[in-house]
Amino acid sequence: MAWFIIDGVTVIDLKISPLIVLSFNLPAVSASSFYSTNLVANLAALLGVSSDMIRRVDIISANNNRLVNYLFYK
Amino acid sequence: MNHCLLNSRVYRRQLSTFTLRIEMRFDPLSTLSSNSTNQTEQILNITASIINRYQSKQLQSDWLNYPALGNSPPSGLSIQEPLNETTVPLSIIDRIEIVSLPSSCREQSPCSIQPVLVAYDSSGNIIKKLGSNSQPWQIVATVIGSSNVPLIGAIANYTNGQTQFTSFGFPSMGTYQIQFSLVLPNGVNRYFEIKEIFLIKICFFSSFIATSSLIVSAPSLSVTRATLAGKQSNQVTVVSINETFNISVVIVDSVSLYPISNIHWRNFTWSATASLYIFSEYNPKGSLIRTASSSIIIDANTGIITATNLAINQIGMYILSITLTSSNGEYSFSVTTSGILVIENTSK
Repeated sequence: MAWFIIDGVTVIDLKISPLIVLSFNLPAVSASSFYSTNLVANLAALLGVSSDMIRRVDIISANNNRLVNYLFYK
Repeated sequence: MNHCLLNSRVYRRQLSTFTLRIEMRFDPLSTLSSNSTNQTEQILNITASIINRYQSKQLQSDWLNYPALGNSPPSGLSIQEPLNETTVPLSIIDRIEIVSLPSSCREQSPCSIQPVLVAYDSSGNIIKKLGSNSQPWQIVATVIGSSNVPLIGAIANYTNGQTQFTSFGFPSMGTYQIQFSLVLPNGVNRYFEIKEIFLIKICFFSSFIATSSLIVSAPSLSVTRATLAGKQSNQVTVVSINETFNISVVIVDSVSLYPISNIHWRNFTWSATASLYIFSEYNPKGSLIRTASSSIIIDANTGIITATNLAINQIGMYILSITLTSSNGEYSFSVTTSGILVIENTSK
């Protein structure tokens, strides 16, 4: 959901692109497992997509649904 | 610009369990064009591929090929599909079972009781969704030992926790044993896995589809003779005196009123006659006129039978009776049309 506050002379171009959001439940491992330089390339290869398609990867705690950290953001 | 964030504090952190969330999309197009349709189609195909691989357990197996991803396959996957704002957990298929057998089947028409199959996960829970929203998995019925028998409505989507057969039926009388098996949507039984930048591995699901728990057989069932009726397929409500008109009818199953598409099964040919329906009293005085160009047209492709260039020569309300007869005399039945109001010729 996007919110905008505009005045009378503001023009906003909205560029829309269909989005896939995958949420993998993973067992107890150290988050450090994912801090590799080729994380995105590995995920892209696994999922069968181009690396360019992956825009954001982050970790969310399963306990409280809280964002733990971004791993990648484009 | 890419940002890969690394936080040393988090680096040491041992999590209990967590969710790895990945957002994927193409670059937005600068203008709307046919490319936007292609882009949407591509992302829907990618979505279907990921879901298919996860629900068939292939993705979890492939995960182990990437040690950098933690060596432990995911225990669950939820997905928010393109053009949809809800996130749905996915189940992994274990088996399919027949919940309701097809029954009350007559040749050339849908069985009165349609088959229902349900997919279960390994815990015995019913799976609500198989495949993506745009490309759900399907279940196809075939005749055991005669896979070339052209069953009617033999493929159904799996959605809302069960198969959605609506027109399953048999082409002719007899005893049949059928089996149901899974097919991936659009006849696609492969997915693409990018191994390296220029190497695309084509993987096949065929071994998965051939899994015995994903094929189930039904007991033998009998298909009885067709019971037929007719139904008017065009509307003629008001005509002027001597104005020509056409009346079309289709042959239908008398129970379901489902149109018989192959009217020449068992090598039948059909003849038809049109006449005025005779009321018990108060019949109008007009007659049905067949002109020199009147004819009966039987369209084998659509199953529509049309009496052409008819006319009525007096005002009044009329109903026509179209009698259809099969070539061997096995079937003969009449179709009564809706009322036709004949009025004075307005050009006078």
